[in-house]
Amino acid sequence: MVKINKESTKKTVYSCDPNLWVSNYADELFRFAISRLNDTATAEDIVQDTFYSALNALKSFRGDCSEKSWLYNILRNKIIDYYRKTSKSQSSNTIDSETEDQYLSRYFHQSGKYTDHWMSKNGPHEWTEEADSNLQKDEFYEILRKCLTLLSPRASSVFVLKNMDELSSDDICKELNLSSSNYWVLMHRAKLQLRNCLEKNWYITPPKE
Amino acid sequence: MQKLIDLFILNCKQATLFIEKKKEGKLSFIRNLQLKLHMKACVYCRLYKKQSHIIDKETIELAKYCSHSSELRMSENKKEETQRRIKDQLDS
Repeated sequence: MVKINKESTKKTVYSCDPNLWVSNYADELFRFAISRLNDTATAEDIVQDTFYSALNALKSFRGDCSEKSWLYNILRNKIIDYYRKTSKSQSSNTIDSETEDQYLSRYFHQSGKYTDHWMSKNGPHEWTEEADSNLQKDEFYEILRKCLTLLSPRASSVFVLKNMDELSSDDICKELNLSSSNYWVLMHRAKLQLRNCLEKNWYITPPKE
Repeated sequence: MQKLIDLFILNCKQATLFIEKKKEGKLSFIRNLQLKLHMKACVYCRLYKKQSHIIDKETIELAKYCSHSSELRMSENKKEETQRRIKDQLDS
């Protein structure tokens, strides 16, 4: 009985060796960063910065989680810091330079009535093309990444935090200092633009010669 | 009467926004009803909803895809530079 208690309270203490960080984790952390930042140089800088910050905070590593998840945590925070910085550099009261109506007029008729439908040019069409083979998948994800880079930094960070990191909208608003209505404007935009970009570049492409 | 109709019947712009809100459970009972009504009538917004789910799903897949993609690597220069600075700091 006593023995069982001892077993169950015994904790694993993880070790930590900064000399091996680069060889063990650089590529893995870089892949995590690049999928969320879509820019090689930025992703490399942030991973590098993650290691330096971890090194300076070595004392706070208590071994209650593995060094790997500790590094991932630091990286996640760095990415959110980066999002916060890039969205601050955009004007804070208007979202991008365009007004909401100008932006949406690409997709919808704008008379203010319930009859305002999709514009046929940028509205949804049936998607038939699917990525089956691995080669097609490479191509598809390449296009999805391209489409993500075309979003405004704010729209992109909202979309990525929601859909890759699965944060709740309330948490995203808190992290990025957004009002809930701004959050929805950005999410709506991101979705409309990604949908359109994927449709034009992957699902419905002009027939190849 | 026309005003009342404009108030209650959603256009596609509102409907697509509500579709996104609904996914996060942020739609009131009345708005949910308005959305249902719109979706019954609008083939384009039904397509949008389907595609919006595909985009969400594929974005998660993209993160997984990147994490398994062996050609995505930090450049050797950057690695060496980082390793050097870590070593310097540990030695100091």
